[in-house]
Amino acid sequence: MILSGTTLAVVAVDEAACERVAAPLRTAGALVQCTIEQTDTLATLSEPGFDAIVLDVGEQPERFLPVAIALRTDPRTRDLPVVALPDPSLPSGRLARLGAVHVIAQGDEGASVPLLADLIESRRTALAAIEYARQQEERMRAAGERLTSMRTEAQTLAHDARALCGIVVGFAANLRDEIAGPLEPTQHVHVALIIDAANDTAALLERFVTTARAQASLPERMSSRPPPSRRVARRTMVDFAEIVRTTARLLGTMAAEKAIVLRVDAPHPVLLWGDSMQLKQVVTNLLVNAVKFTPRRGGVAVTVRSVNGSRPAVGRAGRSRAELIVRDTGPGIPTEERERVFQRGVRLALDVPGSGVGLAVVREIVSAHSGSVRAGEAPGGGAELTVELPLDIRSRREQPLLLVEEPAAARKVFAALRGQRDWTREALQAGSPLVAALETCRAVIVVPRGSRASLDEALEDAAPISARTSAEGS
Amino acid sequence: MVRAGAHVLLVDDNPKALEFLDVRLKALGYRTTIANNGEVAIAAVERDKPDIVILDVTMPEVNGYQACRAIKRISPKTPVIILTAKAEPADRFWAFESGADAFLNKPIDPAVVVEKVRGLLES
Repeated sequence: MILSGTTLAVVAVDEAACERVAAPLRTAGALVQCTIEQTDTLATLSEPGFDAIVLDVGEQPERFLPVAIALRTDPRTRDLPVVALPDPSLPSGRLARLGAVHVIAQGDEGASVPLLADLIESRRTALAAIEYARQQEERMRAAGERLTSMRTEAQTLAHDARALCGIVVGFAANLRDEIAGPLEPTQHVHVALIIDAANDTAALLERFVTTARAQASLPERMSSRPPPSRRVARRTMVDFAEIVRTTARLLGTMAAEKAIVLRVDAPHPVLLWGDSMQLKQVVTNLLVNAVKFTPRRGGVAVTVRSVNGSRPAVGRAGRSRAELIVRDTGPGIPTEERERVFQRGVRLALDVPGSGVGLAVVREIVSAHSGSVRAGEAPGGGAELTVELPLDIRSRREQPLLLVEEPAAARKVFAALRGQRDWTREALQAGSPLVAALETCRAVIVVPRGSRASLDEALEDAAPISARTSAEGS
Repeated sequence: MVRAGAHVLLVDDNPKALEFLDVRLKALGYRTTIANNGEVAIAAVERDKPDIVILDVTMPEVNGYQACRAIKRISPKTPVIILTAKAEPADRFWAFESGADAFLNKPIDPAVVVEKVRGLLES
């Protein structure tokens, strides 16, 4: 029953011819409707539900020409398989005008069964594929509309939230400038923190919208970027020590609630070329963890400092680093868990609230800054988290400039920076004054001998990066 | 020097968004008027002839860019500062295309806005 479930139309010149053609089709399981070729044939054939049409053209294919043309042009029937059964003696040229129909010689009607089965199956497969594609297109369109709508909502939200941040910053600045009356020194600190936090919030929102916009405009393959915490979003010159002090002040209340002594040792600037908000996130996560796991009346000690590398590479930024150590007097982290705590979702103490992503985010941000973080044991058994971040040559603000006026020395400096030219080897031996100067200076300035104007320009170029950045931003 | 009691027209559909600026400007001796939409602002420019206008962008009916164009037609020499939370590069473009003299993004330190006001009034 190869044609079970199919409905066929047979068009013939008379009833007998129709039944002759229909018989093997019915035997194969098809439901067959016989139609005598006449004026209302087209109306019958264009009714929905037929899977294929058989034209018993015999010796008179021209008589079926209007039907064949109509079937090919009517949108309701043009994709239906059409099989023609001509008289075997009919020259093939007389069938050509019927168009793209499948031909089986009259008298061989049985052969039409497998042919029709194939044609119907192919058509059904094609229709199913078209329907599937249509549904997929519809889903994609709906998803696209949802995405566009979410992006618009996100932009509106960011806009409105920035406007609200503007009100917070505005009134806080009025307090700061004592327009509403004098402030105590502590109140000044609090107001500065409010302004800082509101500006950070606005910057975060803007960054979110910018990222969403950039992602939306990229092809899918290119937009599969890592999450924001795994890349450095925006580098500027930042004082890591100041970030630590500010964050510790913000978390002071949280520590005070548990009578925890939060001690910060960050007396000197530690300048980095990094993303200030991400670095704030690192410090916040570490301090929140420390305070959370430290029992009442315990202590959290935070140290941040620059550590000089043992043997910096000549002419490069060196391997000096910023080191942040957070120690607490909590239960500590078992040795076997000290690596696992940096995995997303890992929580060592299920009775302490948390999501298990804090330290994972710390590691992602620190890695994005080419640094490292490790967990260890503090004296007394508490946890000790150590973050190391590379310092940038531009951070050596407190270190001297190296001015090179001799043309010969200038060549040596450039060669040292590039690590090229044999004749520089001698000059770059360990202990040579030039090597020592390169390792300790924050910038190398080469000027033609005696050119005062060039020297001034060079010094201006070597001005602190952060100062230049803020000037450009205003 | 800014003449005493220079008149600043503040325009925003959310009055709170400019209240902090209003307070500060008054404390510094400026005179201020607040308009809560673009149409009122245009009428205020015609009627009161303020020395400077600070305009939000996102407002119903007549937005900040449209208001800025109208103000510049009425009083080409009156400086206009666009102060908006819209932060796309195109917003800056439209602000200056509308004839604005300065474009500032919210959130902003009001001290910076006052400096800008002072600078535009002195120039």
